[in-house]
Amino acid sequence: MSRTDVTLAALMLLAQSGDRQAYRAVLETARVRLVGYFRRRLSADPGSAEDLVQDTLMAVHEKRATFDPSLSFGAWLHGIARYKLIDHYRRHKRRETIPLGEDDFAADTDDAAATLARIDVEAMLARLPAKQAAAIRLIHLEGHTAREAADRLGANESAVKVSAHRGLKAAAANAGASEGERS
Amino acid sequence: MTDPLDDLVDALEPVRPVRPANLALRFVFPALLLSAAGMAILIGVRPDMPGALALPSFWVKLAAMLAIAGAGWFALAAASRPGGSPAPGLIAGGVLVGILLLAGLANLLLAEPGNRMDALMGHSVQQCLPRVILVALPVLAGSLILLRRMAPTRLHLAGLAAGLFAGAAGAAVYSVSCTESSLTFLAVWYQLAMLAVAAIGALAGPRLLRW
Repeated sequence: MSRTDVTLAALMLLAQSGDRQAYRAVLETARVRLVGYFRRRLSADPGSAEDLVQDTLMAVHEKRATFDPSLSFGAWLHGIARYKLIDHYRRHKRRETIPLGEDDFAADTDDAAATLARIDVEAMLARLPAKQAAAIRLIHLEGHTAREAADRLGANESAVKVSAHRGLKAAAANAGASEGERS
Repeated sequence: MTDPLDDLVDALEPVRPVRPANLALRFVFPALLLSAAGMAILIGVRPDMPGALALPSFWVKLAAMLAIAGAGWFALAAASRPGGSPAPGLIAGGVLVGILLLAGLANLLLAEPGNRMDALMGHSVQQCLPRVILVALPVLAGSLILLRRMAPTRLHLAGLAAGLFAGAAGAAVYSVSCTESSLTFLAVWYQLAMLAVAAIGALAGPRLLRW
């Protein structure tokens, strides 16, 4: 076990007890490693690599209670990344459409950047239902978190996330920008 | 634009580390009790019971199955975490199965030619196989629930480990109600039933353990 790994294991223990500073350090290190890991393996598909980094960070978050300091943090992280990569290969071989799950939302900000750069924002929002337009405006243009947006709109958080997500998909379809659809 | 990492940091709540052994107390142990109680009520312990405790064959059956269950548990616990490898436990289980098969074969060859059929077939093959599998199924269910609470990343192997553990634990429980005394019977039929449960686990793993 390397020295970095011992430090990460200690930080992860702190994160399990609720220490946000330690948790941020863990996630930032994990993200650097994951970006390298997925870019190497999906060099032809940087979009998917980016999505998988987010998916894996989300999985790290959900499964953080299963980390045990007697194991190496690197091995634990690699195990999750490998699992997400295999999952990705399997879904794409079968060409199934990915159901709209909670996991998809994390990557929206990146898709949003690409989509928004390509089309006239105001014209795009004008063609969407008011609810979706408002959610996109707050989250993706003004940079609020989903929770803040939900407070402002008086709706619940996941409904606002769904609105923004659907709105972006619709906008991408409207603009004829098929890249906006996550395959 | 918000960094998704901020959302995760904001969402951090303290968690208690989960360990397979603690989860086993909640999910596997009750399943084992259910199996044992169900078997005692529906099938009953062997009729020669307190006396059977003096028979070496009683303890050989129990010890052999518990040893394989131990290896299965070791594999199951390792498979329950990202980065853990079920391979050492599965290999140990495989070696034990192989040793028992060799012992069963030796027992068959050493028996009088006229007794070999009895040594192999015993008198309860038709009951032994379905009963071991039935007794093992609650334990398999409890083991799969345990795995779902953890984070297995090799789903076939995790399911296989759960099946090996549950099959051997089920066979250990059933051995208390089984009057067969032949080592060959144990090596062939107990292990066949146990491996059937392991196969069920391996097939169910990828379907039931995804997260």
